[in-house]
Amino acid sequence: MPGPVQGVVIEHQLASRLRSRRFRPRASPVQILQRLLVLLNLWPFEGLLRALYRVALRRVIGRVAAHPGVQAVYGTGSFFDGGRCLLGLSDVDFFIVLRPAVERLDLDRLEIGALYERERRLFPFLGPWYEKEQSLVFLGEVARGFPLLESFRIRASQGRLKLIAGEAVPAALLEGCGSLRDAVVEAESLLRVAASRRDVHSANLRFWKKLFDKLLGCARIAGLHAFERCARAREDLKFLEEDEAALYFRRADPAEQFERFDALARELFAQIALQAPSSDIEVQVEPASLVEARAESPALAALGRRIDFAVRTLPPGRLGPFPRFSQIAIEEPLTVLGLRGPLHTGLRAAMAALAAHGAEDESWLVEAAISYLVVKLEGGVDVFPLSPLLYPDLGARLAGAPGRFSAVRALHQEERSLARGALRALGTLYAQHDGRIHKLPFPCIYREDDRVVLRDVWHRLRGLVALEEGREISDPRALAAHLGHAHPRSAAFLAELADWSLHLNGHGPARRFSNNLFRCAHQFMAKVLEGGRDIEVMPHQIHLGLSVGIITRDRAADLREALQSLTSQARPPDEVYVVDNGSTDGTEGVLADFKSLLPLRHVHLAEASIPKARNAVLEGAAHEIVCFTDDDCVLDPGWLAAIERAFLRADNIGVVGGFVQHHQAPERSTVDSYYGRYHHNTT
Amino acid sequence: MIIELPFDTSKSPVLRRYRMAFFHFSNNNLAIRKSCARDLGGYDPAAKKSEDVDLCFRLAQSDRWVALREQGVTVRHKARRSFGAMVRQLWGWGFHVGWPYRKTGLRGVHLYWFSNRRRKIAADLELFPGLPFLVCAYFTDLHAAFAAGVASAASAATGHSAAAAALAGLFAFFFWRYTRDDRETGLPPWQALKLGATHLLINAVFSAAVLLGGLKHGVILLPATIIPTKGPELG
Repeated sequence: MPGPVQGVVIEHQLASRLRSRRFRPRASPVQILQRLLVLLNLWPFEGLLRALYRVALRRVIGRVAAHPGVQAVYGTGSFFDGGRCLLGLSDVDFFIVLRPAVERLDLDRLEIGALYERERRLFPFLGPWYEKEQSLVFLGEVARGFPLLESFRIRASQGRLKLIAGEAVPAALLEGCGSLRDAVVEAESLLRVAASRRDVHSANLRFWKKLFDKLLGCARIAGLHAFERCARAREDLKFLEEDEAALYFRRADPAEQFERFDALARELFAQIALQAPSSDIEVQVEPASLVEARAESPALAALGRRIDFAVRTLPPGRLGPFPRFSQIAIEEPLTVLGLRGPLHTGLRAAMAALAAHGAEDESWLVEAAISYLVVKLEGGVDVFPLSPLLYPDLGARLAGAPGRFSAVRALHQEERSLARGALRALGTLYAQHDGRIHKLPFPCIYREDDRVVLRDVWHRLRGLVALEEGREISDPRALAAHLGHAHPRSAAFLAELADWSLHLNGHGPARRFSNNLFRCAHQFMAKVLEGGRDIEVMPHQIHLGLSVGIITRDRAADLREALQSLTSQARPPDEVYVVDNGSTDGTEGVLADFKSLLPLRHVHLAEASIPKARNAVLEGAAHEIVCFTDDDCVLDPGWLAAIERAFLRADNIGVVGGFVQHHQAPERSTVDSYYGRYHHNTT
Repeated sequence: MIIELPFDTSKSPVLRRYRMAFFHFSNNNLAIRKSCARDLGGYDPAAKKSEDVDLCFRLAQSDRWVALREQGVTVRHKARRSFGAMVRQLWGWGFHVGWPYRKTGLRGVHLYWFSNRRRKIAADLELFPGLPFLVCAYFTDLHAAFAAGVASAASAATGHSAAAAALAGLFAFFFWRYTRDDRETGLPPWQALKLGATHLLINAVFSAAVLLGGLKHGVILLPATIIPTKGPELG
């Protein structure tokens, strides 16, 4: 699991969504069992199965609902709708609504998951936690301004939420559910399921009936009743009227059905665009210099051996005209694939090639009427459909004709208002995390990935500028200059932040950067996202008092080397406090030699006890931060500077550690090899 | 080296996990805020050579303070200069590590299967939370090989030759898996053999030290096999 670090924790919602929504195939024995269960959906077994479901729900949901963090549990799916459902297949789903005081980072989420999994052991048909985790509704986040889960909104608008336990969510929360945007987002997620499910799931007609029914449900939400009637009357969709159990045993050609589904979705989007009032939107988009190029990528080469396609690249930027909550940031030039064959075949081949040969986070855009973003993630590949309704600018970008495009007004306004709410909510999160790391139970050691933190910062700032000013500025330096103009007191900080980001990503030269940029970035984000003017942040270079503590005993030569490495620190120590734990060699002389080179103090402690000696350092050191090292260590020149930078990140950082590497002995030996391979480089 | 606090069920009806994510900060590269040290009560003289493990465990259990690993906080540490010094160091460290575990107040049986190949805990099991003492054991390929070897010898001694042969096969299987790290050193065969033998001996010394030291402190601990790592991973 990636370290839950402060910067990442501050939302990085997309990553968590991407990771946890990833499709995981079921093992084939489960499929066989499912077929048997479907056969049991007949009298009298059906009644027995239904009773078993009820027992399972009472037991598992009862336990989950009893957790103090849970406000309500809603059931959804055909089991709760009262209609025909295929027991044994996953027709039971639920939303767990968490009380406003519960944060995404809190322990409750883990606890509820553990509780659920423990109870589910007897009832595996309820589905694993990683699926249910996607249906957690955090009322606290909604209160802050983050949007309510779209799937929850859709089902609420369809009247398909049944309160199973707890107290219902406030009615005001459900106002406006079932908007046009909800319908489009739902249709996108259905396309994602259609594109990503493996043949083992999609090779029966029941799978497609569910998808088509849901897609036509979206048409109903959008008010396109005639469209729905026409679709249902189509000869090739006649199977929608048939019984699910029978359809489960009828084979379907996934490629053929996917093309049909994709076509119906296109028609639906076109109808929405036709019927809903549109506006011409003008957004200054940087020229999309699409180039015919075959990027150097093993995955692309592997794909080239299977299918025929053209490759172009799209410059870094955003996808979508507004900073969407689940917006996808394109940090590197994006590979765009123009397929010269069926979409389904191309998508499957792209997914397979990325899964087998792709680099982490490698992404391709498969260009089509509805384009698909295929992303390689840790341990898998995921697909995201980009509908022309929610990404109306994509066509213009791909055509290299930026500037003006047409968007459905209602969607545009809702996206805009959601973006505003989400950015403001992010601002409160940044403020909340300014100088404080949220303590998690696991892991106990935190680690910041500055590249991720800054990637998110620039991504959100780009979104903010696009939203407020209708301008697209991708380059961090240009963005920093633009924002610096509006916030002159932060201009110097922003310029340095941009340089640091570029350096971290290998695009800028190395130099000594200020040590408090991380925290300043949090402060700036907290204020700018809440609409602050001429923002001022704390100084971006701060000096903390650092004492270095060394315990030594009879290692005069090693101590000399350790002290020597302290003299060449980029950030010199404020004090070096040495405790001589009873040396009888020339340690005294070594210390005398360094008196003039380092702010050195030393004491003798006759009793040979390392913990007592360390406590003596803690008591005697003049400064608040005590940096312990050993007399047989050699320090990297940036050691103290890095420690100072680490403590500045937050006020509740008690301990900072790092990396212990192997110091090669002058003469090779088995002992030295053992330490190098098994002992060092670990802690 | 795996240092992990097992689940603690005493403070909550459900699982509450404190993990050191396989690693703790050793004292040769640890910076601490004085106010944090005061809060935690400083170093414990009774912890002897595991004072850093003890401090990190207390920090993990503290609601207030967090530990952070920072890029660039790097030291290079020298190896012990002789075989005897190396064995003494591992013995001393292992013998005293039971004390920090004892101090956590955790109880019950906590069993882990540590996958050498995947470099992570592949399975865990918590039993008997009401037990008045702590049992914390990590099983790996080496332990499985050891158990199969002992069982094979016992079967052979009691005349069950078919069972003995099957268990010997299991021994070979697990031992082969364990030696993967030693086979992939890229060293000449003789040196690789010496390194592998040293690794095996150190594992035996360290396990014995942890087990015996743990018993002295009233806990039953079995450490995971020492494995090479490319760098710290956070669980």
